[in-house]
Amino acid sequence: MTGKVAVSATINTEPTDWLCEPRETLLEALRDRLGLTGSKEGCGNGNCGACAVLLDGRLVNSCCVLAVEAQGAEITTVEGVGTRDGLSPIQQCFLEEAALQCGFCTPGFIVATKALLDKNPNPTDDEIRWWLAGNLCRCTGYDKIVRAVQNAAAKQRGE
Amino acid sequence: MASETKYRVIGTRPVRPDGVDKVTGRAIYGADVVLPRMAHGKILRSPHAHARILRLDTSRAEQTARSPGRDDGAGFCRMSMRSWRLARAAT
Repeated sequence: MTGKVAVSATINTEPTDWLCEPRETLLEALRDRLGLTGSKEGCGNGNCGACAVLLDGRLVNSCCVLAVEAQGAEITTVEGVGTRDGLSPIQQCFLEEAALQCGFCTPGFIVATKALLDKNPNPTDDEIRWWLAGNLCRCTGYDKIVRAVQNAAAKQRGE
Repeated sequence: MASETKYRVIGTRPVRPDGVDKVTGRAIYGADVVLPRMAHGKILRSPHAHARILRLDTSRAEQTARSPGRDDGAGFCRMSMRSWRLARAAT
């Protein structure tokens, strides 16, 4: 059996390193090795988006990324959205628009929304739905989520 | 000229009280809980959709890796974290 590998990366702006086996996924490393349980495992096969994180600015399903692939990378998880002093506009708008119920999909949606708005600060509804197609929600349905994203985009544009 | 009834909650749009924890990833779900020396369970499902269980043979599970599990009589084998990682990798 292979021994553990040391991986270092920057997670939510903090330099972080950990040991893990080569076969571990980034999701497992985040949740089980680093205690960052914000990212969730909904399917384990890249379907549901509950594990979504940003890897060097790119939206990925961490259940499909090997932890060792994160070497030297900048990772943003839901724990890195918002600050110590308060919620980000995305988080605030999700709350105000009731875009969550059980909340299990929510971290993935928040990260995916951040990726969208970082790239496209003024998306149409269709663009939002297309971008968030990799995030599944069973409780709320998507209307409120789309509305929350629109509001967050407007807020971030200063409107 | 009906009298106006004022409700305290109905008709308002409260922000749900567990909302902040959920949008920040702080909310703790069952799978997020880690306790010292906690046991891990692994479910083995029957490959047969409709059948009667005549016997459960837990001997292989009990022999897994370094810390053998123990059958507690209900068909559950308590395993250490290390055994669980191995079992998980094996599936």
